[in-house]
Amino acid sequence: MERSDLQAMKLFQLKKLASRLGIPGRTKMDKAQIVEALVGKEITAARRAKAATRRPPARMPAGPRVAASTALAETPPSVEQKPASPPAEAATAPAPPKPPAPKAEPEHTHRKPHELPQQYNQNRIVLMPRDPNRLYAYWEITSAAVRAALQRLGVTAGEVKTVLRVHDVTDLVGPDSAQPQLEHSREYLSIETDPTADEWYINAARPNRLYCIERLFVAPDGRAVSLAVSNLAATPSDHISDVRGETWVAASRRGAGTFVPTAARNKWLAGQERAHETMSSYAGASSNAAAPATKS
Amino acid sequence: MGPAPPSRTESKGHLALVLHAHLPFVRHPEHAVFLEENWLYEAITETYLPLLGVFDRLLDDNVPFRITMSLTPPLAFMLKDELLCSRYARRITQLVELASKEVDRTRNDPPFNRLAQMYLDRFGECRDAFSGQYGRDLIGAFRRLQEAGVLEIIASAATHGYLPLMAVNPKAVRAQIRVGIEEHIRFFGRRPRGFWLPECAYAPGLDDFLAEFGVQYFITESHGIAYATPCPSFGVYAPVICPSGIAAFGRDIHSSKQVWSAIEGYPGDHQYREFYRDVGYDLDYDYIRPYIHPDGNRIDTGVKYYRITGADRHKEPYDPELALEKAAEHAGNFVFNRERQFEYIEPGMGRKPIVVAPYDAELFGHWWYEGPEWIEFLLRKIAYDQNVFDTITPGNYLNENAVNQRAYPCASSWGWRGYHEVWLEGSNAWIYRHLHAAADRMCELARLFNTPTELERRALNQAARELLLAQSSDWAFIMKTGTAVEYAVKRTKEHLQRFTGLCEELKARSVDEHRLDELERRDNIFPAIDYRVYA
Repeated sequence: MERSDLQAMKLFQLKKLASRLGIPGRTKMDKAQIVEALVGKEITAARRAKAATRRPPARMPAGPRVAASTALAETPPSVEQKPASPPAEAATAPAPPKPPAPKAEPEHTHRKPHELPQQYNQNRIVLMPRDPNRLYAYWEITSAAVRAALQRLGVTAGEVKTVLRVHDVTDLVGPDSAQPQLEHSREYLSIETDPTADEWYINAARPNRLYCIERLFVAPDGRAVSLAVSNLAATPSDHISDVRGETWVAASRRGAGTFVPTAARNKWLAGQERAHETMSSYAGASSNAAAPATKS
Repeated sequence: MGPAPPSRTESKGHLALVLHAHLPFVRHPEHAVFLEENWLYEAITETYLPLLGVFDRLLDDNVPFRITMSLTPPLAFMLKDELLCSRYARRITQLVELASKEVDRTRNDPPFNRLAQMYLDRFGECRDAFSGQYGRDLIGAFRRLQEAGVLEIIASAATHGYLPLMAVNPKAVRAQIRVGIEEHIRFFGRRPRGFWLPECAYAPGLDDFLAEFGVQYFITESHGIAYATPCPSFGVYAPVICPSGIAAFGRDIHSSKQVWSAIEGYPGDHQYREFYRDVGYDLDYDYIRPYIHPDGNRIDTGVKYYRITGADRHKEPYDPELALEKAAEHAGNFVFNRERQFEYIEPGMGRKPIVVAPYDAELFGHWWYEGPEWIEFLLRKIAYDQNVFDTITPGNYLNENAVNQRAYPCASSWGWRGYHEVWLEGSNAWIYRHLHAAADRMCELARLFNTPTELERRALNQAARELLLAQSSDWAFIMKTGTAVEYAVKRTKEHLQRFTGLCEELKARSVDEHRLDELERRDNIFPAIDYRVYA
């Protein structure tokens, strides 16, 4: 650049230019010094960026080989892992910007913190989806609920099995009620647990289904009493929907008209609608104590 | 006012770059120096100031571009907080001093001396820009970029809570969203058109709450759209309209892989700066002592002299010129790949596709030192080196493409394996019974107290703050990734305990004002919160 051009610029403009060109020692320079440093320099960095010639890519990407809407059938359903850092490390998802702490952190020792209450005196069981095939449940069963259930069964604590029942209620939830009729449940997974357990990981769920979990006492003769029934939890899908047919709408603030089903409407769609409504209509985990005794 | 809109009639499609800037609320006035506050200071020096520099330069040069950012409420609050800003000014001054000593120490070692000089210059510029040009108000700087028309700032949840896992009490979800949007309006002066779901975590029904507060779009992970019902005709290359009436955009896998992939992503290139060789750990203890943690623990300073070099432990000195060349090359590569992508997908669609490319903002500059320069090269190359596509914000895309396919998106997140397991597993599942119980009690308090006294109202608002802070998804995430577990557990327990204390005092109708004063001083986020968001 010409000296006269530079001298005509203001100091803050010169500093910006010097910064862009990476002139060393620029923060301590006065105007005369910056002008000297910049005389004759071309703004190569900026020019390179603006008018860069197209270079061949370092690596040819494996681009989409089929039409857009089914391309995703070929991409793995799981998401690319995000590197925490320059990938010298094994890829883990990023933490807030911070290097590993110098002291070793014990793993998983904080599972049962002691300073938080062990109980809230609320009889409830809560079900949460983890992924298309897995759920998690935690519960608290009050001693009052235990006593009532044992009394109902006419047995002692030592005689009952403590059981979890995972109900697939996708077809049981009627259009008008959010509460599934568990007596009609035919499809459930029974898991016997330690009576002291207060959480469980369920790994045998199916994608795109609605589940409800129940904690029960089961007497030796097979009669069962419910201790608590959970909220509804929907497992996500893990594949492209079979439902075809399109409706086209303009975006709007609230529900742009009712969804008009095509001939292909099926129970998956109903399941999705049901899951959609659990948020609004099933607020809060249900905390039913003993439901009527059912056959196991 | 800003440069002309970049949409050209000949462009075949639009790229939407979305930078998600977030840090959890970390503020410890009770300590003179606190280690985890460094997350903020490092991000200011290495990410936020450099990104602002990039956008300012592009504006100065009249480069046409559009970019979208989320700036979450905890981050925005911290960037405006006087205590944290003055601590940052102190920290960057310290680093200038360190760099100056380094220039002296390396005077006989030219490759390192050049780097020390580079850090001295860059830290000096950060110090001067922060207090001078930006007047310690980076939020104001982002706001001005929005007003210039090049940046669209979108909102996020109050404390970046993991919404699908608090959905058992929908009011808790609604409160996170509502407070997040209200804070956004407070900082940026306008209602947000878009919303960044924390961790891109979506569950059916969340969008109802977004719609209630006037949000027009949100972003999900790719399969959130790809697995929607019915199958979307355009895959992730157009948004779908949810039953609530708002639009959902899906992340594009290909553009994200090029940056994020641990195996094939740009940031791993051997020319780039090595994160794990910091003078805070490498140099003599007595020499570096004033610049690490006062209790003597070594920490990062940001002065790093080596490049990645290779997969093993041997590291060569960093060469900024070569690294810059590499960033330019990678920007060119990204542009080239997007051109091929648009050329492939556009003919089948009959409208211009959108490729949505969201990233954590802190990737650029902090984890990937050359990241901001890559972005600058990228935006310049998009503007001048090709005419296949241009940059856009999702909001602008909806302006141009108001009619889209109706679909129910699929529950999903951008966490490992695409759903919720990162935040619900052995290390962190224990928190949920406590968080859910607290949310229920907060709703109960909000119902009980219709006409609280002034003291009670303050306590109710503080209880809401403590609940929101306990719900930060960051704690569960840190417990899973194992980076600062003790701190994350401590924060979770502390906020829950503070909440429980306030809850019990309120029920007993005897609020401890002295204790409340202290909590308000420490957990001072959301000054304008109204506990009735839980009613």
